[in-house]
Parts: sequence; structure tokens; C-alpha cells
Amino acid sequence: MRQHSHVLVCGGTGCTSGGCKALTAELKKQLAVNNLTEEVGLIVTGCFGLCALGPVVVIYPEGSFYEKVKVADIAEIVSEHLVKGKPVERLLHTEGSGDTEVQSFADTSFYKSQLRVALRLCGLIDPECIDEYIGYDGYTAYPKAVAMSRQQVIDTIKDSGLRGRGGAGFSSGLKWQFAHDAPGKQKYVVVNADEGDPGAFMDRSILEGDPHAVIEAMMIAGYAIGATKGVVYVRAEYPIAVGRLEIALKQARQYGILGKNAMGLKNDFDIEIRLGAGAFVCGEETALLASAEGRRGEPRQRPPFPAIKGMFDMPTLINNVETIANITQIINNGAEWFKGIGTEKSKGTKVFALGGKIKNIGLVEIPMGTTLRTVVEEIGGGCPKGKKFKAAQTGGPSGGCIPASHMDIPIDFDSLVSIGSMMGSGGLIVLDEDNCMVDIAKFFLEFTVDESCGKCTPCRVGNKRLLEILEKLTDGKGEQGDIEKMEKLCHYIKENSLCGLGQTAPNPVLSTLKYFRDEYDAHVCDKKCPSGVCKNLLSFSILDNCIGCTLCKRVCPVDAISGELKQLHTIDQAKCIKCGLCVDKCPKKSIIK
Amino acid sequence: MKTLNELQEIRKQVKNQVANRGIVSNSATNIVVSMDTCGINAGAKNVLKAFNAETYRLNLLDIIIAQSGCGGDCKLEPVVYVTKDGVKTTYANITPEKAVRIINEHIVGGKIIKEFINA
Repeated sequence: MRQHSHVLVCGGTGCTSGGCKALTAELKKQLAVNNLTEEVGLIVTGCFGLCALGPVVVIYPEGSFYEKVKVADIAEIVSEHLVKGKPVERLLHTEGSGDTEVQSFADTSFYKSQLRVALRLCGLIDPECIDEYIGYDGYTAYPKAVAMSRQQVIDTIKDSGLRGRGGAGFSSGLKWQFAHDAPGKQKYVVVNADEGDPGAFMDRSILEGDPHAVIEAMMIAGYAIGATKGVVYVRAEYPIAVGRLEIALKQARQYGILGKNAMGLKNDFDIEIRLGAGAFVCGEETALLASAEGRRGEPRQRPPFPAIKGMFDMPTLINNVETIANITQIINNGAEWFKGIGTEKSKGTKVFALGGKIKNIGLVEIPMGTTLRTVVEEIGGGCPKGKKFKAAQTGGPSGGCIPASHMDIPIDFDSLVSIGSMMGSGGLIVLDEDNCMVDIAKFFLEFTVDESCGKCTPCRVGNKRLLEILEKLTDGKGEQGDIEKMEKLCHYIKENSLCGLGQTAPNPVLSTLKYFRDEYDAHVCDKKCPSGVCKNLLSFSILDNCIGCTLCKRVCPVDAISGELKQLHTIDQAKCIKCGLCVDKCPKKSIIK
Repeated sequence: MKTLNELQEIRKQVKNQVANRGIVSNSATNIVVSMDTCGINAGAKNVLKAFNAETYRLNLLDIIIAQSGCGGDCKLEPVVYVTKDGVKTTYANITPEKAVRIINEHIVGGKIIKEFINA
């Protein structure tokens, strides 16, 4: 029998920490109470994308989008919506103004401008059920690929114009060709799921929401380059992604879809999982291979590239999760279809993890060439509390900032590089007027200094020295010439580091210097932080229009404020710890930074 | 080991089961069963079941079967709204047997069943 409704509960990492497991249990209970277990399907899916509104529940056939659902709401959803067909309006997603509930989630401005290719089935199927993947045309691309010659498969990928989504944007087809052409007894296909950029969760969400798409694509890649072994290198700290991938591999083997002569086709391929311990440098391909082989995760000089000499010195194809998630659809729909999406030199779509000062924090997939404005204002819903957009940080610790003046730039590999940022793996952190750019550069540099493996001196020592200068600036001890010294050091580190980590580590500093030099100057010359973030450069004072309400005095944790009722208050600068509590409390806005 | 044909069989079956995971829109053919207390009391649940069972049996994939609240005319329940090719038809006092006929004659055959319409 066909079930009349399907209840989809988001089981991504965000919604899981929001308590979706308890929701699922309660749904199960309430469905049983209302005698609906047979008629209503309950499916735990991967990420829907709107993580800020989680836990998310979507009910089909209506497509009703319920946000921030609590256990206490479940009984009402079941008895009203599922029994009587009346959606519970108070829980439906609302757009901006807050007065119109959006009945169907396909109509939200968050989803309207998106195009889901890599995330096609995320939030639509149960990732722990292989049948559902098969039902949505899963495992049709592999037989199709095996019916072609190896070279034909590679040519299709080359034609499609697919470029690596891990950050560098190298042609995937060419990479496949190199691995195919390289001689070697045992070749490998490795998928890089060591996603480490702060605020990025694209690859992890694909593994959580649609693991079979990755497995099938690896099988295709294995056939194309002549590899019989595949490895997924994934972080142990992503337990849901690892768990679902393990289940998917087990089910695929049970069905005879993976393994020797799978599906009765003459080709061997099997996949194993290697867990990473969470070192950022292991996202770099040579360090990843070292770690996957069981050695210390340190990069080595390239060339030789992994396509020639990779895993156990054998020809190895390394692709990022998002890159490989496009493969089955390129095979099924053809290179021409994929070429039709995107810009001249960047084809297809890109997944971004939206974070920072933005309303709709979550996961979005857009066609290449979409402007930053569309992503931030339309899909992301703009900065909360009506604050002014200042910049977007792309590419994480290796990337740079895009200032508000470049908001209409189309997002693709080459345009982002032309303005001093980079696509990166897909983290997109939105900064508003309250963010200090020097502080942001410091944050990312702290991260790379922590994560530097220490093998080469420019990265190990250079970045540390760079960070020290930044700390000097934010402490108010900056001197004339510091900025110039930093610039020189940045270029030195970029030119001399061994691997991508060091070569890109100074990017956040360089790009903020390029667009926000005035903020650096203010830190050095005026000893001021224009955004009011760097505490050592702040001093709070009370204006004459103070009404003496004593609110600030009462909230101050260190008793730095003195003054009688209805008298002008004053702040003792020696005691003040610059916590800002008084600023938030003052009804007359008399306290300024 | 599953052969390609066996996989195709699973694919067909799952497609049939997940057909409801579409979104009600005006362009698709859809059947809406009025399911408020009055409708349920008059037997709308079995009508809904009959619609689902029959579309499943015939492997009709692009039909969306949804529920709605009370339409206001409680004495005509179970009420069913069928939208096909942009034309909306309202059927009254539907039983599971009538539901099977609606699928076969209206949805598949393309003929509106006049006798089920409340004049």
C-alpha cells in the first residue's frame, strides 16, 4: 500500500544536537496512538539546509515546513495535520515580515534561488535505506558508465567542465586522465572528507544525507581509472557521517552492488573507511595520503602528484566529497546538461555553508555565477537586527574577504581570485558592522598557527611571527611600520611554504589589508578599534544626557560606575573591564565606546 | 547478488511508494480528501486508504493524494476534490468503492463522473 503522508525529520548534525532524536521517538509514539503507523511514513533524512530553524520537520504531500519543533508540539502535528489534514499554522515557517506562513518549503526565498545537484537527495531520502536511493534513480549511473569505455567516461567528465570543489578548482576530468594514464599495479580512488575549515559542513552533510551518491561515484571513478580499491578519508569527529557511510557500505555489499563483479558487471571495486583524527593539514592531499597509510600526517613536496605517485606510491585519484557527488548526475544527464549550469569557466553548482551574522544559517547550493548579494540578502535573509553588511569571508583560513563594494560579483572560481579571495571549500561567513577586520584576520591566523604541522619553517615560524604582530595591534601596542612588516612577511610565507596550508595562511591578512587598511591604520595610529571589538583599545564614557537611572551602576560586575540617583554617572577607567553590559542596559544610549 | 533487473524492480516499487513525496501544485493531478472530524466520522479515512491503495495498484506515479480540513458542507462528507488538467471537480458522499471508480474513470479515463457530484 502507498502511505498517504510522509513525515521527514531532519537528522543532520545541526538538528540532531537540536534534539531531533526525541522528536522521532515522540512521532513514533503519537502515530501509534492515532493508529497511523501503517498509513504514515516516518523518515529520518540528511540536512535540509535551514539549520538555524532546526529541528526541522517536513510533511509531504503538502510540503509543509515546520520549524523549531519541540517534543510538546508533536501530538498537535499528528492529531491536526496527519489525522485531519489541517497544517498547524503556528509552527509553519514564516518569511521575513512574520505575517505570512509559507505552506510549502519549495516556495521559501531560501530555496527558490537554489539549485540542488550535489545535495539532490539531502533532506529527501532516508540515507540509511539503500532502497530509497535506488528509487530515486540511484545505481543507474554505474551500469551506464561500465557500458562505456574508460576513456569515454573520462571524456564525459572532462567535457562537463567539472572543477575540484575542495578549493583549488583543478579540472576533475584532467585529474582522472592523469590517474588513468599513470602506470601502476594497484590504483586507488580516495575521497577527501577531511573537512576542516571553521564553519564549513558541506562534505559532512553530503555524507550524512546521501552516502550512496558518494559510493556510486567512487565506483565510476574506479572503473574509469582502473582502480579496484577505494578509500574514504573522513574525520572521526563526524560520527553521524561515518555511521551512515558504514551502513551504506554494508547495505551495498549485501545487495551485491559493491564488490567483485558487482551487479553482475565485469568490474571489481571495494571501499574502506579511514578515520582521521582531526588535523587540518590532513585535508592537504599528500598529508592525507600519509595519514591514510598510517604514517604521520605531514605533507610532502609535489610533484610527483598523487595521480602519479600517491597511496603506497601507486597512482591515486583524490577527489573531494562535493566534487564526487556531482559525478552520477553528469553520467546520467550528460556533460551538456552540466555545462548548461554556471558560468563560462566554472560549470555546475557550489554548496556553501552560510554562517556568521546572517539570518538563515545553513547549507545552500547555488549555480556558479550567482551574485554574493543574492546569497546574502535573498537566500540568507540578510544580517540580523538590521545591521549593515560589511564583508563575506570565503575559503576559511585559506581565503579572503569580499567587501560590500564587491557584492555584485558573480561567485565563481576566477572572479573570487581576481578580487583577492578564493572559492575555498565552501565556508561563507558573513560579517557585519560589529566585526573588526583585524580581529577576524587574527582569528583565522590563530587557527592556522595551531594547525600548522611544523614541517617547514616559513609556515611554522612565519605565521607565528605574523600572529604576534596582529596581537600587538589589537593590544594597542602597534608601531609605525608594523603593517609594512606584516605585508612583507605574508608574501614570504606564501612563496616559501611547502604545502597549501602555509601558502594560503596569510590570505586572510592580505585581503583584509587590501580592503580595510583604514581599520589597521586606526589600530596603529589612533589606537582605536572602529568596530569596538578589540577590548584593549576601548574606553567607555558616559555622555551629559545621562538621567542617573542607576541601571548601569547596578549591572556593572566590577563596580566601576559611580553616581547618585538622578545625577550624572562616571566610569572609573582603571576598574572597567570593558564588558559592555552597561552599554546594552542604558535606556538613553548615553554610554559610548 | 542483485542483478540489474532486480534493481530495476526495487526502483519501480520505491518510486511508487514515494510518489507522495511531491508537492501539491495546481499543475499536477491531485486528489484532496476532506478529513476534518465530520469527514472522518462519515468514513473519509477508508476513502483515503482506497485512493492510496488503488493508485499504488495501478502504479500511478504523478498523482498526489492529500488531505484537507473541513470544506463547510458537512452533510456531504466525505467530500473529495479532484484537480485534473486544471479543472477542479467536487465529489460528495464518497465511499471506498466510489473512490476506486474515480481513479479508474476520472483519473485514468479522463471522464468526470457526473452522478457523484452533488447537484
